[in-house]
Amino acid sequence: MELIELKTNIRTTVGNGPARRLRQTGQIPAVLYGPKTESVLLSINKNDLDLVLKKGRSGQIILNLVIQKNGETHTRPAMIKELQVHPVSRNYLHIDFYEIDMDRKITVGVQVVTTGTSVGVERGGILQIIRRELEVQCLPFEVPESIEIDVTDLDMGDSIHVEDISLDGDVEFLGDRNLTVVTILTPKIEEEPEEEEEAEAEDAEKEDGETPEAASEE
Amino acid sequence: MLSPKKVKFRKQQKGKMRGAAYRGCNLDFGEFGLQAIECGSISSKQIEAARIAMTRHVKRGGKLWIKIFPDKPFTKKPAEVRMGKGKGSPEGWVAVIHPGRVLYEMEGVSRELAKEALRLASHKLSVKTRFIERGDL
Repeated sequence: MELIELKTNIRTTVGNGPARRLRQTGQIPAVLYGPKTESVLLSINKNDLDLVLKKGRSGQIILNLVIQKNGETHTRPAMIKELQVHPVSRNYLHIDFYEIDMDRKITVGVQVVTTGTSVGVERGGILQIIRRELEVQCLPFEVPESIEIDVTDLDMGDSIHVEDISLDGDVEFLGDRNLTVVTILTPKIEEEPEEEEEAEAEDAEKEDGETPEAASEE
Repeated sequence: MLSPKKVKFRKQQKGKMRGAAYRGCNLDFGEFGLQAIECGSISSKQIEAARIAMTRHVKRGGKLWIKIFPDKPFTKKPAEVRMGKGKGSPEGWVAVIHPGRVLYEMEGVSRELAKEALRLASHKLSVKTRFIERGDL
């Protein structure tokens, strides 16, 4: 995995109002922090971030942050820890960068990708990916782009667990090994609509029959 | 139809619907989804009608998740009753929807089929919605 360069500026303002004004100028407020460094307030150009996010998933990209301050430039290796997005407009609101040590293992969520068409799906089953992301621990340059799972041999009711997946290199899974990742479900067949309609019609007839009696009682 | 099994208080005040939904605004289970883009209330009848519309269109295969639950009671006064004399009796249940909320999720069907099924479902609902898929977010 390569280092992607991203230019950033030091931000001096904090709070809602200044952050909104910053977003109106095409910048996104950000913060950089890490285990050995003090947190730094930053701002990034939106277009630069768009270009970076096209190169990979936000949680897996390793960045080389170029911080410009008083004419001097510093570089820091970092990952995107959190990317806040507006729920309706999908505009970026804020980014958290986490400074990483290249010699120390990090915990990353890696996307699960299925390959092939399973026997169960051909027989009418539904492939359900229960966990779309698995947490792994590895060195920053060894982060796999995705975890590929071959589902060709899976029949209806079969599933693949974390313990069944093998990873290349010095990459290991975190957490419970017994978690289900992919399964083939047996499809539920929806009841025929005609029966429901008939039942509804019967109910309606009954109601019609009851209404005059009820009215007479009143 | 969906409704709570037990509630602490039978009647609730109407309340306000300000802001966006910052929870439940992402696709958690499925590949495709229906997202609300305005606020409103969706009744348990509408939720059920939309579900039936989707399952009938998909026919077989596919898995559907309903991500909203109608937990707020609404009341209604009987017909031809003068105003006053207290609040009406509970008539049904609604789910309060904020913009951005994902209402339904779907998996195991093609994009075209899911889009059409969710379009049919959207006609049963009282809020404006849009079709979303994994990768958009």
